Amino acid sequence: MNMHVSPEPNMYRYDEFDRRFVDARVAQFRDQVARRLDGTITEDEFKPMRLMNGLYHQLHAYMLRVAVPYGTMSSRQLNVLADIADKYDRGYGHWTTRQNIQFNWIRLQDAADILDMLANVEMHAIQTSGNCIRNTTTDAYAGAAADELADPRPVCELIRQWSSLHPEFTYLPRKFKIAVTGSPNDRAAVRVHDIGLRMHLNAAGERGWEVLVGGGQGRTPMIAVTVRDWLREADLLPYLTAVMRVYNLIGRRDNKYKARIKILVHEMGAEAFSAAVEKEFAEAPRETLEVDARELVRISSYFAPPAWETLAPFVPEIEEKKLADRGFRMWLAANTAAHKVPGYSIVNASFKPAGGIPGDATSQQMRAVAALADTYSFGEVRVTHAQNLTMPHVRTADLIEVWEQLKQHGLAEANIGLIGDIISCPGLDYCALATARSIPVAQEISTRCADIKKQHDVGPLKLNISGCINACGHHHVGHIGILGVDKKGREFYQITLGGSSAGNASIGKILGPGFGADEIAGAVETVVDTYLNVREQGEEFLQTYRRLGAAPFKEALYASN
Amino acid sequence: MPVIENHSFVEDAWNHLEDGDSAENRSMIIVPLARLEEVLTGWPAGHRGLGVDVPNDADVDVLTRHLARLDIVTLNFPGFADGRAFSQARSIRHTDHFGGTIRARGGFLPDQYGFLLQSGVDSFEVSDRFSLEEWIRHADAVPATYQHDYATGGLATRPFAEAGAWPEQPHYG
Repeated sequence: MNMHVSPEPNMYRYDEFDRRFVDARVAQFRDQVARRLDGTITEDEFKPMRLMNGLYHQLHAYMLRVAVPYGTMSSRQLNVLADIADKYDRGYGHWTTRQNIQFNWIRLQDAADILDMLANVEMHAIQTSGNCIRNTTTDAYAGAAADELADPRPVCELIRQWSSLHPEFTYLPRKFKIAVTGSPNDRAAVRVHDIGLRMHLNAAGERGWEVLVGGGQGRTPMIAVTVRDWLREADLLPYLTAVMRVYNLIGRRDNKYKARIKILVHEMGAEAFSAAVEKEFAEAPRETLEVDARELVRISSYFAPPAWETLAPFVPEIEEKKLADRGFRMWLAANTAAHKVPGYSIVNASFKPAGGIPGDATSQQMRAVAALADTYSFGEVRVTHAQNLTMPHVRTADLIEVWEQLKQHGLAEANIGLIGDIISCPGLDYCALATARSIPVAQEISTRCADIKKQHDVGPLKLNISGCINACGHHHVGHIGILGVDKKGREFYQITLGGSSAGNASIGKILGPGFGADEIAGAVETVVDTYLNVREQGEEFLQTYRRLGAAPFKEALYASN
Repeated sequence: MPVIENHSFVEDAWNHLEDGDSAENRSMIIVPLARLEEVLTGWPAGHRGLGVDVPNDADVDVLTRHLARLDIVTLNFPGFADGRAFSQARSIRHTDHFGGTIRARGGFLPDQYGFLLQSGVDSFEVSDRFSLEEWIRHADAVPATYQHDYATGGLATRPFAEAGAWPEQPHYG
């Protein structure tokens, strides 16, 4: 019998304490389900309890959202996700924009058993929904990116623990999302989160954090404001506690759609909000500083860099292959990224096949990536905010083999960061809130734009699709955003242009009247072709839009009507 | 209404002052926050037996300077999902070091009993919908907590070998 043992990547591991905590939470949830079934608690009372364990009631079935803390997981964990997909779902799962995975066909009576399976590999669904602090997200390239100041994941884990079943902050006005970046090139969209944290170095080389508050998407998209330019790392949890307390006490609860912290910051004004936080921060006793420090040191020890080899930065074989094989060259350009260590590369597996459902992963694909990570990436995998998977530490010399194997599993579409790399919500095909379908629109656009050569010619372009104004597909920050709405029983799609979740974040602007379901893909093509006609040498889509505004695109789309 | 303290039902010694009632010559009364200043003005120095009922949208900072003269603060849950009273309790107990009783009233659930204890609440005005046993077993349904400074009633926190100062660069760059 083949007893394959996966390498254990350097990532946070549960100790006895964490295990006890998660096991007890699973048992508590089992008890809550039993009390709902025997009528001890009402459906209204049960709902937040199940949501705080990631269990939604969707259009056709229950959906379970499993946390992948800050997007980092081991191949062993990925294999268990594949097992869950086979045993309890229909053989697939769906990567989410907050680096989690959703299973869309779950039965209520199986939920606690699934949580047990997850607990066995140190995973859970705690706080993946509900009006509480959600999974902390970060750069999918953390610990690997050439441009980062330091690995942000120890701080993410510190926040994960601090926010888990927080006695004071579990019944907030609304959901609460924190994103962290350790790189000046923001790949974690920190400016569109409730709290964004950006690492900076001061003149003395010490690490500190810029605190941004009040960003978000949904019905009222807003860019976060900086409330602190520089916070000592030692002050991070007390400061976050102060922000949460101000929000919990005075965040609006009269209207669900005005309950996010962005509305509070907007209505109070950034200065008054910041003053309230600083007052709270100054007054609250500081008893946990040493505990936090010890904990951060303890956590950090798990994130030691892997045993990198000393390698040559350039591999002749790869350079030759690049020249000889256009397919490989394009894959290399789009799907790999610069690693901080010479001779290594960051490799993305694209879950965006032409005509496919963005972010859907079959159990076979999950196992394939797990096996590749075992062989080529220290057993480590990341879920990206764009709904793909990343192998963070691949030897550049292995790239041809990895590419060949990804191709076999349909995971080598050379479209990361290009128009084919569509971010989409599940839309009306699954979601109880949606007003329009998004998946078929994504499928048609990616079919029409399937020509990889043209995608590379178009260059970096983020296309985001949401099936309702709640904006789970992040259309507000798409370079091209599509919002599906219901108009008298017909699906209509509005186009927004110019959004971005990167460092210089912006909210996209609506271009004009919407398009029918049969017109929207053609309209997107027109927008792209217009860009190709008016761009200057070396100019990316977003730059062209920012230079010229909406006029040429409006002209192309609406002038003939 | 039944009152739980220290995991037992206790006799409720407190009375809420009705609108328009005078506080003169009374004891063991809980007055609405809106009347606290007025009642305190006539309250003899050194007398105990006074409490205040705080709406859940009130700024508890206004209480700070009066807490030394109060024996009980009651906080309100209009529904279990409205969690403002958790932060009110924490502020009064932890930031203002209030040593008296903090009582929760209203629509909170047994599943929140542990969180309330950890936030500083130590008295619970409950309906007869749930048994005492049902309340108590939720105190430590999750017997471990990550929040060292909130841990109460024997909840486990992560054990550490030794204390340490904040390190210069605690994580890898």
